[in-house]
Amino acid sequence: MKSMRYDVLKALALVLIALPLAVSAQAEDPAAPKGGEAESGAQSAVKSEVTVGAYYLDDDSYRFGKFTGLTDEGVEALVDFRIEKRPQWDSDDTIRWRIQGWRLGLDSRRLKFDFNQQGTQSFSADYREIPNNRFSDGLTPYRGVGSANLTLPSSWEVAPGSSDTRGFLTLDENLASLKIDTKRQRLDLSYDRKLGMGWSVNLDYRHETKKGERTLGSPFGSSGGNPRSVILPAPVDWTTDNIEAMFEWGTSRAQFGFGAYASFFSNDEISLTWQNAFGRQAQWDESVSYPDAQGRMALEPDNSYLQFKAYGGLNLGAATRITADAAFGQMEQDETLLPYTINPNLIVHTPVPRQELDAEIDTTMFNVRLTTQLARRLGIALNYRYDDRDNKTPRDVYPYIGGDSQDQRPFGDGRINLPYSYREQNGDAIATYRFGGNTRIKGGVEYSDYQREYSEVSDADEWAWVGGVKIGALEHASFSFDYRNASRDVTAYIGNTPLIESHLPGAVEEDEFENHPLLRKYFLTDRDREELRFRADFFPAPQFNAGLAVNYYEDDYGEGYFGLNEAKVRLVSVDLGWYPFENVALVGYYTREEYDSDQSSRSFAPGQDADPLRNWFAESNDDVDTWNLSLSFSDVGADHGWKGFDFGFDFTHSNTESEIVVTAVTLATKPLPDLRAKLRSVSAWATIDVGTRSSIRLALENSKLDSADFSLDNVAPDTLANVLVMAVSESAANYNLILVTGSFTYRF
Amino acid sequence: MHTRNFGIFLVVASALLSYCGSTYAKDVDWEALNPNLAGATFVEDSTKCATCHKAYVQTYTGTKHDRALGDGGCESCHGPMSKHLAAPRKERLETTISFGEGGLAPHEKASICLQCHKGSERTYWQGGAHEASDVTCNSCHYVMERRSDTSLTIKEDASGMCLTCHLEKQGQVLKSSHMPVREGKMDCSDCHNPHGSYGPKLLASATVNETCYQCHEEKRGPFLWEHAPVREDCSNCHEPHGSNNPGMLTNKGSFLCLSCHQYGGHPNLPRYNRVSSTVGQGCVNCHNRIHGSNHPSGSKLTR
Repeated sequence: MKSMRYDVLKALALVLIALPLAVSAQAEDPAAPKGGEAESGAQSAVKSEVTVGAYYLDDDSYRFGKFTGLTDEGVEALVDFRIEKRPQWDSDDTIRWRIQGWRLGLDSRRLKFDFNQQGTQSFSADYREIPNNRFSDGLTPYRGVGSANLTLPSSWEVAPGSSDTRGFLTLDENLASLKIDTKRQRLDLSYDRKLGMGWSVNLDYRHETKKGERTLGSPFGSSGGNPRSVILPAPVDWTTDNIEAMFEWGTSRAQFGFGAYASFFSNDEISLTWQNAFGRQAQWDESVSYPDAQGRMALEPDNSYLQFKAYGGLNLGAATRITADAAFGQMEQDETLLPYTINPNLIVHTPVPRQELDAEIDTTMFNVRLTTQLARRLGIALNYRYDDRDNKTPRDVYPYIGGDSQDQRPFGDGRINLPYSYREQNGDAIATYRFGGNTRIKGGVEYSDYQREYSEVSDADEWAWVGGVKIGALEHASFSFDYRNASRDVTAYIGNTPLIESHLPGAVEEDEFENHPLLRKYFLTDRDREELRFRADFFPAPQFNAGLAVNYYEDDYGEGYFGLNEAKVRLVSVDLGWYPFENVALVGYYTREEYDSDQSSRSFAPGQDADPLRNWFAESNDDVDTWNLSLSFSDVGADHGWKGFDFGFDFTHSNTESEIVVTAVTLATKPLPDLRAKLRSVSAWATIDVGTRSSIRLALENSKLDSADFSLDNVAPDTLANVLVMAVSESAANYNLILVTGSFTYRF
Repeated sequence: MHTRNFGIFLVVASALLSYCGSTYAKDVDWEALNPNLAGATFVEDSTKCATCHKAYVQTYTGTKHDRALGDGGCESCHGPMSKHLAAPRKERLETTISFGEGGLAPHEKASICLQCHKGSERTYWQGGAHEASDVTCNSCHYVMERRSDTSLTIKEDASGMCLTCHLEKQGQVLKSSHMPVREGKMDCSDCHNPHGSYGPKLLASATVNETCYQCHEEKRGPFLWEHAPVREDCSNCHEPHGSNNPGMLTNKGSFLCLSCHQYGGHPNLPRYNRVSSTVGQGCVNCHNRIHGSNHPSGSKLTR
């Protein structure tokens, strides 16, 4: 099934590549001059540009080159190029093409080919590599990194009677360093063709692989204080193919389109298996301990998504337009289910209810929008949106085994999967009245309705009213202010619905619960939301502009419940641009962001759930200040015969201070260490033309990251008794380095 | 046979839609945009424009629009020019369509571009968030001169163009956990369609999750054991524009989980009065299949 699917995809990709090439060969003919006129080549010059040079980094930093691959101290090659053919303006030739390469010497290289026959067809092929470095100094005792079967070295020893990390007698000598990173390799192909009579076709295809390692917490045991976990380096070996075909028809008055999108995800590893590093915990089966026991988790299953869609737009007169679309999709997943446990010594009385899950979600989407100018000054927009996700995955009882460590639970205590479905409908009506000089007011109402299955909240609706004013009539300034106030109401919040629905009838009492009954999940429950946006722009002189933006958001979840109680965001931004001379520009901005949230809970064991003295509260505050200032000079010394001499300076500073303050009624609390992230970058650059065909560019950058995260920094592998973490030292994140870039560009 | 049927379908559909369009609609009403154009006619000779607007014509020459529109190019966007050419010099500004400040309303400017650029990804321009905020085509595009490699944008750096107005995002993309926008490996337009969309927040796909699945297909599932907020909306837990929490989470991992999970007897920060449960990956130290599990024993998202 899979191989046939990929054969089809490969065939489509080949067609996609071959089609435009064949057509482009034909396309040269009509453009070519006839009867002894000048050849198109003479009219359409091919221009090339090659840039070669080097990056020099004065220190190693896996973090600095997270997405660029510029990670190692020393010199890396800089190679960019561009070859382009563009027709002369008065040529009959309509064809242009371009081949470009960027960062060819780095792991973030990119190659792109564009072909365009104006008004007829276009084709592009775009190859990209995108690294994602997490850290380079992780430590793990596991061997087989990169594979889906991780084992411990033969010298691994566990103290007799120990069941936690303190019993790892040979941990230090068995730790091996490793890097955690992934790399995407992506090829995008796109072809557009005008078919005549207003029709066009667009084909897009993407093939992407993602390979590398990631971290996955991997526990044995599951409850009652018995879990023991290790953070493992898990393999990533994914392949995705996406293809989209759209047929479109359009004139200036009416447009129509239909097509399909298909996406196929494939994971080369169905599961991850690892050897248990821990000695036996008392609640585990006797067989579940080092060296014999293994654990196994399911990795992301292969899946597919197919969607058919159509849209249309129609102008009803010059002032009215109606647009609509519909999309029907299906997500599928039919991976073979793993057995309940990999441990053959555990008792399994009930087999897995099905070989394959046959999971399926049907998606349905409708949108309709009507916009009309009732008068030149008065416009109205009406929207309706329907979004339905119908999860048809079959439900069965799964009497599970807790973390490969205990015999299978009784059938009556098994869990039933909850294929969540939801339906959301939104409508809004917004009116805008325009005065002269770009001044307008607007206002309207929005309505949303949410329906969910197997959820604490089956029905919710939200009303919002919006208003805004923009004053653009002033000579040297403009102002805008927008406000939105929304209120979400739920019919009922029944906290133990998922617990009851995930068990056989009668297995759970009506008043039984997992989460505290007073908990309200923030994405489901009643909420009052207020949004305010203010923007002012000043342009007192052609050489100067400045702006001020203030945004405020507040979510209020009400008093008397646990969970997220309140969240506020305040943003203030100031930006400026000063152009004292034609060739001098000074631009900059400052932003202040404040994110505050309050949450509450009750720390309870059975029988303590009604005790308010066990309440605790957490206040999280993130304050972020970001500065940027850029000064640039262009064409300096032109009066003295210098050509193309530009230079500039750039300064960026981002400072984040975060704190989490935990307080409690009676329980003892202890402050958590602050979190910090400071990024500072100072750079200078210059370019100068050397002759008519070439130029030189030099850039110098000092970049410094100073961050502190108590959950990651200098955490020894055995810091926690029950979890073997993958140690990362502080140096993994922080850096203070200098990057020198020098390049020579030649154009021909 | 199928090809023939498809061809017949195309012809019939074209005729039907053309009839609908021509019955109810007309092109730009120049007189409505500028009453001074009443009675003006199209001259269809751009060389006359070059007499006064030499610099503009020079940079415009050879652009895509010049090649596509030919002699009538100027009037395609600036309206019929007969009265403009005949007017005394000081009255000429009043007898044309100007895209400068203080002239047309933003939606009127856009209507001129939409003569040719309706449909496809611009289907939802009218009534979209940008249009409603008075953004217009020439806020981001410049047709009189080629200033960028693609799409006639006013800047080569497309994301930088977005950040000019979306100032708060400038700080967010600098945060320690971010998508590779500032490294040039992604653009804002990888997720958003600035021309209007049927999804929320000008997203390029119908929903937040469908947008995320464009690059994170492995999280699409469906899974045997689903995590409800994950299935519904990735932004319930992630801030895609950047965060100082690992994984672009909206809050420190454990505290984010504790917003919705408060089990009796389960590790819970103040109860244990220690930072242990936040060390490493926090709750995900054990609940590693937070986006969904396909293991028969994975109901607690640990397998």
